[in-house]
Amino acid sequence: MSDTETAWPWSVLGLKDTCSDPKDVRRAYAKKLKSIDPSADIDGFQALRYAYSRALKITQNNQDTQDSRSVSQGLPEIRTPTNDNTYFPPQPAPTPTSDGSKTVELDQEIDSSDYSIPENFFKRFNELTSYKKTLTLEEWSPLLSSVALTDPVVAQRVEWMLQENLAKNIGYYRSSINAAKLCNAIDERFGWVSDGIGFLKRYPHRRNLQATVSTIVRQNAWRFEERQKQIFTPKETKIKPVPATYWAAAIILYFLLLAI
Amino acid sequence: MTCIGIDLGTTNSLVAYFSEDGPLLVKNALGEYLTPSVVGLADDNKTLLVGKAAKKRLIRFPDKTRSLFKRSIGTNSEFSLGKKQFSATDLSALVLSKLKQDAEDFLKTEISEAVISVPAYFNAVQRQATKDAAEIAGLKVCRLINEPTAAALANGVLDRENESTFVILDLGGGTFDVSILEMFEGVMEVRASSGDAFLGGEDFTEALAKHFSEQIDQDWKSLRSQDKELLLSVADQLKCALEGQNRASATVKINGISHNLEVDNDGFERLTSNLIDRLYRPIQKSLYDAGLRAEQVDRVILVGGATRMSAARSLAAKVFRKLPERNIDPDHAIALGAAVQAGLIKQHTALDDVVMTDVAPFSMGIEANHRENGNTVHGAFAAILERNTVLPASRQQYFETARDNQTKIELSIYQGESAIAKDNVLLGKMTVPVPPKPAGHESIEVRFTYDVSGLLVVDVKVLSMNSTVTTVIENLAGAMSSNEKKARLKALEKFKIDPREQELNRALLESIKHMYEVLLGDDRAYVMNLLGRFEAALQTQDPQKIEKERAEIEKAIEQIEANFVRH
Repeated sequence: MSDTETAWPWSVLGLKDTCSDPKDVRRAYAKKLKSIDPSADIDGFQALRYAYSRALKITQNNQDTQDSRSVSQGLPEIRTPTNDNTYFPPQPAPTPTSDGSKTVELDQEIDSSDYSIPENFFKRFNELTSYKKTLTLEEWSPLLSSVALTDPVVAQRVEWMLQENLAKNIGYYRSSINAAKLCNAIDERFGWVSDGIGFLKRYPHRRNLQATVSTIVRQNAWRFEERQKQIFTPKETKIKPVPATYWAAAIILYFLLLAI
Repeated sequence: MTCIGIDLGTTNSLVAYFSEDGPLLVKNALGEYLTPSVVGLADDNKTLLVGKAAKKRLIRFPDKTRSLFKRSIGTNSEFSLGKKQFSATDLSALVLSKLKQDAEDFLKTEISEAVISVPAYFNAVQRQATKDAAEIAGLKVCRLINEPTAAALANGVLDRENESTFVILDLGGGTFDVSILEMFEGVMEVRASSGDAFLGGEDFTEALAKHFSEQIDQDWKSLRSQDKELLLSVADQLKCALEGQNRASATVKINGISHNLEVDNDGFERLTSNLIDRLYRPIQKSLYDAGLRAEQVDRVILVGGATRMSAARSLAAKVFRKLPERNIDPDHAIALGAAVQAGLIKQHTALDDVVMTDVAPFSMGIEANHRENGNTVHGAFAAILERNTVLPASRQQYFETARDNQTKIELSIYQGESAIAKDNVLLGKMTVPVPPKPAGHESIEVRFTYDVSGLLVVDVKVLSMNSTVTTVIENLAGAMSSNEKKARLKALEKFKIDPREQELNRALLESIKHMYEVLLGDDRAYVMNLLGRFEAALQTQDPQKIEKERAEIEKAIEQIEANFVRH
């Protein structure tokens, strides 16, 4: 291994040594960046930007070893720039607390319907996923619209659990209108269809699930439009009296037809 | 030569420039910073009105006045003003030329260049239409800047020493954008942008107006357009009144019956909860793309007039567990930032050590079949340049032939996030010849190069032949040619524009008539009286007398407008 190779990414940033403080990395990057014209030298800029993101990651990992978000930790360096995004490893689902058979009746008894508390939220979530037939939008929507999901950590965990569950029961989802409603609600919340690229980045092995959910949502788009209308005009539409001219026209037509 | 910064908004537009003392806003002929993005035809059917005078005619002449056209930019929808048809691009051009005029009048110099802000989540077609509008208005676009990035520049330039990670939540009249930025050593780096191009303050107003129409037992869709505009205008006023109080009400007359319309904060939040819900996803998406957790964000900055709503503020506080900041007036930040960008382009000495990098808000790629475990997904979208890649960027991917003896590969280039190519926005097509071989035996390298000005270059290399085909996607298929632009300019020039000195009088006249339409009973008689007084003053043609009367009547109208909403 030559000297320049061992010095990467530090050498690209103009640093003589490895450093451990993200601040130094930022300062070095800023200095280098101001000395080049990115639009004139795209490759140079990309190499600099990539070296910067790697160096930053290394220093940050040194500083905070508890940070579990970087899955590239301990893996060999990637040589070609791909992207600068960090991948969040999905967190394992908590093991169901109660046995599956009793769960459905449970929710009436316990006073844990306040799903804004993550603990209640996940309890209910496990109840729903352990009992197959309850997967309707009516049962899910209190969860999907819960404030608990405003916490990105909770939201990520929920998304992971949802995709695990849906992938397992994919046959059921192909056939049911309830499933279509649920898929649409999931898309509104997590963008599995509208941001399919983002979903596949998080769950690369779920391309089949993604395709199925896309088809379900697209095929049922008209139903959701209907639903939207109902939301906006909840009142029954009044039947308007038919104007006299229409009656007259109808009668004339009738006689015309008779004549023929 | 001066390059101005323009915030071309859904509801209001502003113009600013970069001076020795930093970015400064320009006042319009009425002495106001905000010019409503409304265009209308005056009673003579020849004069075009832009701004406040047009806005005040919305209720009385809904068929001759158009607003919210930014929502349709880049589409084929036509807007009629009387008998004439206009596109959203035409109407935007009229607003832009008005702002250009205001800046020229203020700076006493001719202006031909501008930085124009667009929602970060605007796609390539919408961006192109905005550029076309500027060119019709006689402005060369130095750069289209993303609105939240502009807001960040305005905020960042104030505070250059600090090292921080901040998020900009930009809820404007028609669009919602989220950007996460990092600032250090004079470098401002956008880490991620996301948004919703069809969610803004106007949707909240509409939800409230629809609620009112239900309350007074009217079907929203069958309401006359005058009444719709009246309800929208009242809903907007009550919505704004809720910013400081818990309750607001007003009385309006519809179909000859007067109704008391009332709303309180809780009710408003319930009505708009589904809109508030839609704010979450873009925030989470950009946090994810930036690889950050909410608690790693140091500052939360709100821009856009609609962030004055308490629901938007409390959402920001809930997600980031931080009190959101508003150092700069949320209505002004974007225009000021566009002016900073103009200063950067003109290499203003005050900005010597500031560098800004932005990201691609959308993924770009091609249509390709995807094979996995023996299954083939047809028409999948292969993203070559992923969204939120720092710009400028150049990325490549490899593809192989799908059929035996295939002689050419057709590439369809798309922009978007759907895994199905056809659901995204088509940017262009190209064909590459390949020697006939068994399927999978010929490979191509597809390279996408995208720069800050929105220019996409696609290079395709056939690996076995070492030949390269290059396509530059600068102007989209739907873009206007320079001849078309000239023709539109000519068509628009046929209309008269009020002389500047008349604008104040025109705006006041329309404001008085607007209030007359909205008010009832004795109040109406009082406004009628004001109108008579002002018209009499105008008849004297004595500038001093007109000015004196105008000042007094303006004050009276302002007072009446304030009293209209009860707390």
